[in-house]
Amino acid sequence: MKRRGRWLEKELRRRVRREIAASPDLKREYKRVRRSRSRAISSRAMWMFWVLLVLPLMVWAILVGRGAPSRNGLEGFHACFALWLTGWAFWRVQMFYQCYYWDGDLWIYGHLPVLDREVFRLQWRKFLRQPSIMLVVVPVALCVTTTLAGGGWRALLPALAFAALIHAACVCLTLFIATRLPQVPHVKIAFGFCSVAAGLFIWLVKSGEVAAEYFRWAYWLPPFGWINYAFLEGYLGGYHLAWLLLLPVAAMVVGGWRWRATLEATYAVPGEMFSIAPTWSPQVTGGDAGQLAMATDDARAGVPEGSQMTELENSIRRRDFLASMDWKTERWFEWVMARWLGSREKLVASLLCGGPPTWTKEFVNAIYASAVTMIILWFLAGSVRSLTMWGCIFVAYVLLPALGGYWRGFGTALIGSQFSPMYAGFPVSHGEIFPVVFKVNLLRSLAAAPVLVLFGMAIAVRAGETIQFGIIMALKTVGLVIALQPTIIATRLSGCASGYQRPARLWQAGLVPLLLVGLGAGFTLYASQSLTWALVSLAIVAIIGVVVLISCFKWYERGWFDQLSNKPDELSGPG
Amino acid sequence: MKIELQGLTKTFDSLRALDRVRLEIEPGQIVAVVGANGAGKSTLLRCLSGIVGATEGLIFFDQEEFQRDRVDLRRRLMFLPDFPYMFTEKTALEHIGLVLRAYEADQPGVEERVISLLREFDLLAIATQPLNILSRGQRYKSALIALLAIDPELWLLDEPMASGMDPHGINSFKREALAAVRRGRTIIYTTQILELAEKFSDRVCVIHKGEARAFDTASQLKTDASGKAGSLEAIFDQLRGEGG
Repeated sequence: MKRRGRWLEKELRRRVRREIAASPDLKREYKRVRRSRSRAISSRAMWMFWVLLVLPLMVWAILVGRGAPSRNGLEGFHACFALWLTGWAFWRVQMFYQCYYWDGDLWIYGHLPVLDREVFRLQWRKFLRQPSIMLVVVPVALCVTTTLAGGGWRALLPALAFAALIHAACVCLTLFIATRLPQVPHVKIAFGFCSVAAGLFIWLVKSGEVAAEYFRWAYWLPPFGWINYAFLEGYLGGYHLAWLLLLPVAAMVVGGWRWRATLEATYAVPGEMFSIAPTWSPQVTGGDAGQLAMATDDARAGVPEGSQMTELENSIRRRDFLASMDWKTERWFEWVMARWLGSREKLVASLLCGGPPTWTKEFVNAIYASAVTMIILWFLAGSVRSLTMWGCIFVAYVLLPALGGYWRGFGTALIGSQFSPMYAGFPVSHGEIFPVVFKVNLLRSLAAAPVLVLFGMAIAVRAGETIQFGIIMALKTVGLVIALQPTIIATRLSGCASGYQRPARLWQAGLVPLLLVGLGAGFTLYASQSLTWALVSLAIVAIIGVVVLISCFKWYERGWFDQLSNKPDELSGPG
Repeated sequence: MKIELQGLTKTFDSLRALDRVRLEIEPGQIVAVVGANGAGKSTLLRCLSGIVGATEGLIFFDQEEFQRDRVDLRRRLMFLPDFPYMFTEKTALEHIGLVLRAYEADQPGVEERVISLLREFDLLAIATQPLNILSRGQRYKSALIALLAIDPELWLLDEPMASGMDPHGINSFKREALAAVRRGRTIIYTTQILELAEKFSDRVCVIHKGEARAFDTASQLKTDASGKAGSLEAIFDQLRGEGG
């Protein structure tokens, strides 16, 4: 089956245009309803913009900050980069999963006379077509780092090819463990990728100088680049890092087992009936099962009868249903926030969380995730001296989920043919949302500070720096996270609405200079040894955030953007 | 609540979804908004609820200018889209509780009202089921019950009759709406069903290409158009034709 009949589409378009041209009324109406497409900045474009801007600056900051181009600085950069690539590989697997089990197209195919194997084929093509930001990020990162480190461009192409092949093989093998779908010969494909990669490897080894250039950096490029690093370290100077191999293996086994379990639970129809997967519903928000989910017989399951009904009525009379919003303050984070926030703020917080908050649980989970990150970075720090700063930033990012926590209320719901943030359905204002999110994130940052300081101290000692240096780096990171909060909240408020679309030109004009100043301030914060400059930098970042936030409020008040957008925010992402 | 729209305009890029709409709606009325697809009906309700900001023009509620961050005014109205805002992992009852809390309408006595509404809309038996396993109509009823329990001064409903509710649910809604109007509530709803707009409204507002082409009682609209048209369908077609 062909998804598109290009000739037919072309012909229909031609006929429609002719009809419009022949009728003044239709022409007028066409002009009235025509919308320009170019003004909106897609979230993917924004993402790419950030990456393109930040990556070279990261490298630059490392090099300048350490005084001279150093192998250690670049090693640190590559270590973080490899971790990011690992996440990317898992994300691609998630995308594959979405294509077959959660994609909106499946709903359409379910109502068309299309064979399941056709549906599978179409979705496979869709998965392959999904644009990958990796196509930009890897070359940029490689270009900058190999050039700055004195490596020639000849090292670049084989490195890229090797990275791409190993990436593809990793994704295939993870898919195999996760799904074992009979339609895709994952292992054969992975074997094919690995064979080509091995051929390339042999060629590089035999080609002398090029191989030497290549091996300076290429071992960081696959998703588990730090394993390669550990191997190399083990081969060159000992075997103490080789145990790190167990971590990705364990992650793959656990991840694969969990995905398999999810697959069995969600994909209830045996065989190959992808097109009528019964649990499909549009994935509007992360945890939201969707606004359009089909009714199932489960709706009738567990329906109370007779005496149970009386009990239910009594429960309503006791106002138990209103208590479902009450906070559980036996946990420390909620306990502190319950005393800090006023009654209205607590209500707003509950609406933004979609019920009683579970901040303590989120924080503890983040601690576990950062502990793993810290262990990995601590081992790397043995030979990567300048890892302290990047380590602190990275751990802070993991520790404070995406630096801003998770809020259900910022997720989107389908309203008519567009998407609207969940909080828009309730009488709360932006002026009420800001202080609540800020206070919660402030406490989150302060609570994370001791963990970060401890980590900073440990990694600094490991990297041959002073303890004081580690503490300062950690405290600077905490300060930066707090100073960034107004920007983060403004981005959240406008991001789940049409804030990026309507005042697009203003955003474009205003954002870039502010961003550059902010990045300059961020760089100064870490590069400078002076306390005064550090405080000034933090103040600049905070002032920029306040300016962005006030602009966001003003634009909203003036009706320059709406609590509506054309796309659900959760569906966009890297890759 | 008295509603006054003064030259309300909303543009999306080059599209004028609402074009200098002027309306005055007295309290205690049911207003049916009709119009072709894409005419601007839903945009009008979204502007009134604050989800969408007006590009030009003003909205007044009881002579007070409506601004989107005026929570006190927003608490006096409630907007129910065709797919209501819901955290779908919650039960119908929890959703109702959450909305009551959000509107700070959880005063003593509301529980009896909730029970009677759940019973009236045949939802008592499934009130403790998660919303994500309920049908569309059942979800809509859950959201509607929250609205009825809150009883705001202004009800804004987008296509309530095409929301998946069963005939019993629709009848119950009409009964509740009529009772609310007698208490002075104002109800604005959109519909594509002209017979319904004719029978179940005090005023009909015809929107075409973003303009409010007519705003009057259904009988008055027919009288004005006597000689040219005899039914609301014919008037609707005539108004469309005039606009080109």
